[in-house]
Amino acid sequence: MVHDRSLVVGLGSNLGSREAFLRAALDLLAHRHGVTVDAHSPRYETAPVGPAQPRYINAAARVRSALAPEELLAAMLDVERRLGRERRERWGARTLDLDLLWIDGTVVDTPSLTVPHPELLRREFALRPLLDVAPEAVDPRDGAPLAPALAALTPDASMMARALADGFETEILDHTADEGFVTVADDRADLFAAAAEALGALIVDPASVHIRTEVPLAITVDAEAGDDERMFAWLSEALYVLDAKRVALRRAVVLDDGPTHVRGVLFGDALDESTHAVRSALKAITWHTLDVGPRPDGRWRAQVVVDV
Amino acid sequence: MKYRLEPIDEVRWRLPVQGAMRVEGRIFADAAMMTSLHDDPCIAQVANVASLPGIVGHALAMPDFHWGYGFPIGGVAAFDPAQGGVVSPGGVGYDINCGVRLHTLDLDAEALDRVRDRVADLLQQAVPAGTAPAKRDARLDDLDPLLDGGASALVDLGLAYGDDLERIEDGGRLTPGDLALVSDRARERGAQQLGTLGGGNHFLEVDRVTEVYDEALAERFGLRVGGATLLVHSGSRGLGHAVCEELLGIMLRASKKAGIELPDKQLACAPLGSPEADRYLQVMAAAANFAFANRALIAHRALGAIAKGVGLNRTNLGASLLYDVCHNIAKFEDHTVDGVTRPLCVHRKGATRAFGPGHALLPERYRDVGQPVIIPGDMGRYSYVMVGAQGSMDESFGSACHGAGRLLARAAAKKTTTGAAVLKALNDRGISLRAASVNAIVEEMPEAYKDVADVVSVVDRAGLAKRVARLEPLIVVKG
Repeated sequence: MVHDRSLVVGLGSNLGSREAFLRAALDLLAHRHGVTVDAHSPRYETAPVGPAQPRYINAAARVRSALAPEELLAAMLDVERRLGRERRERWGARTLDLDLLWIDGTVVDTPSLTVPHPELLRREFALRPLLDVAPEAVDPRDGAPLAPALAALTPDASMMARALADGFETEILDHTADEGFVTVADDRADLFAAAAEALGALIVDPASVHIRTEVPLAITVDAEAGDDERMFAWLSEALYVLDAKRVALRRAVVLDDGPTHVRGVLFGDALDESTHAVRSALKAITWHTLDVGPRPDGRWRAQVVVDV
Repeated sequence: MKYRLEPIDEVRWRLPVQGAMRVEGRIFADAAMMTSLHDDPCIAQVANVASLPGIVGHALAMPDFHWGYGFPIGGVAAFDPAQGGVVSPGGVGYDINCGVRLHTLDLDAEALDRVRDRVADLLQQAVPAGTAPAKRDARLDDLDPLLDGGASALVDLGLAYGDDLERIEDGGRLTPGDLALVSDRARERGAQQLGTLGGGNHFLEVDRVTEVYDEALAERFGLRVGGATLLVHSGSRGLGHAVCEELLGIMLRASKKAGIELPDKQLACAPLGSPEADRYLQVMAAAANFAFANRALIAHRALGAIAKGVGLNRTNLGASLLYDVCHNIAKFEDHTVDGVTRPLCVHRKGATRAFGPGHALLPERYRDVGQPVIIPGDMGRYSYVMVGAQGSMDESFGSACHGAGRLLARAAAKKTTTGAAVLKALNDRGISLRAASVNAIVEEMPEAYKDVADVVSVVDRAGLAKRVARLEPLIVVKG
């Protein structure tokens, strides 16, 4: 009998809807046969290493798996690929980066994989979340606890911790005849992912959806289009896909929030009324009290009313 | 801004010209309704409609009016092409030609009541609701005949009776123009939702006639106490929603081009006669035709299910279409304003056409009495059949109310009860409910709506339409 290994996977993103990528990656890992995600850390925002690029968010997940390390690595690469990782340069920006940081009691040293991760003890953004989910972790090479290594690092003053909740901060609006939501996210790319997820959740409870399919979602907009026009086009396109292609939504990500386009992916399943918890059939996105933009605190907010 | 309102009589209120308004607003409501509205944003929406170019008469609001997108739901407005009048998708809504149709059955409600759960199950199987997709029928794969012919396309396929057509508003067909203007995406959403109810307030009901207010008229309409009816409420489904959404962008640019100040983007509009207005009216007509076909198909399948449930063949069921009316539509009709009769673009959004006696567009069988007007209530109480009166021709561009109007927001309704509680309460009152989701049950619970009797009473007292009969539900299928 094969025993599950206990291990920690590091997650990082600094392109597109960073927070949405982390959650989608956790789901894609968890929905894979032979992999169980037991816990995850908060998300930490840090300044990047290497050439000037957007700030990173990082987290770690405690995972149990019967898969061999190389098989798990292949699964992680597949998740990266599905989440739009384009390997451009070694230190370049990426939508998602997954690293096998640590395996309980196991050392791996092959041409394709080194565990513990060679940089683990030098990177606070990897070691801190790892210790959040595996405080008892020891170095399998020498049995030394990892916690003192974190204390020995020079603290990164730029690092900021925030919870990684199960979904974006979203509340349902009370509108007499119809439904709507207000959602808040760190930046505009994440806001677009958050709004698509909120829309999907009006139709089907995402907790009842297991990711089996993915559908690309893309719009082009005028360069001078306002944030509200951009959101209207994005959600209208999302509703078209969900309605016409009959998709039950679990997660949404934004790969690229460009000057004249938004590109993303919807993750979910073929809608099946007998297994998915259906809430409402929706007609259309409206301009009614539509309000999209940055808040004084720098986070982004969208208010959307949907015709039911 | 806060709007000043003045009572005219016990069922009429004047919204005097203020701000950018070009004409007065006229609200049909009783004092209790107005008190409950106080600062409601739907008053401002009436004022906004009154500020659009070329509006004539009054910007009207029916007693069931409430906050909508751009135009209030329950709003009626007419625009004169000769005075720079406009057409606005916001005056029609996303569900183009959402409407109702009522069939009378040659069957005692008592006989249906004995098998109501069986019939409810059969109806639920026959007519997909909520997000459920269409039942495939190869004869309906080509949408063009439906977009072009409306209900008549179903007659051609043997799925509806030819003599039904005169008992559908506009004969069940608007002139659609160029079908190529209906996008592939709109067709894609429509194709897989043809013959489905959809969600929201859409439903299918089997009712018992419980009260008759005018014996002679009721007899003419085939309604008798203890008789049974089938009531269908649906529209153009995803096809109409997609059409409206696509055209909104075009209309926003047209408004800008025409220099029209919009207090609300959902009021986007284009001057009648402009290419944008023509385009909207053409695709709106195609979507309206799809809705006429959709309601006819739903009724065809539902009547089949009822016949099966009571063990009769279709002919012995004695189903006869009373009328099929639009709730969400814009079209040219001749109306008299300030003594001059002229073609006007009448927008009805959550309002019913209610032509009075003698109108040339009514079929001979109803011309001397007026058009049947069907006013659905909530799923627990009752609905009404009314008949259009002369007052509607004089005051409301031949229009009346369309339903109860919501009282509670959907989110608020969910906080007050559970699906199981609503189901049980209805069952205790002798109503079998079948719904696509728990959400649909709770959001549409009877208490979420105003009492339609109050709405109908205002319309009756204002002389827009008269009550003929009351119907109470036995079986309800919700989306």
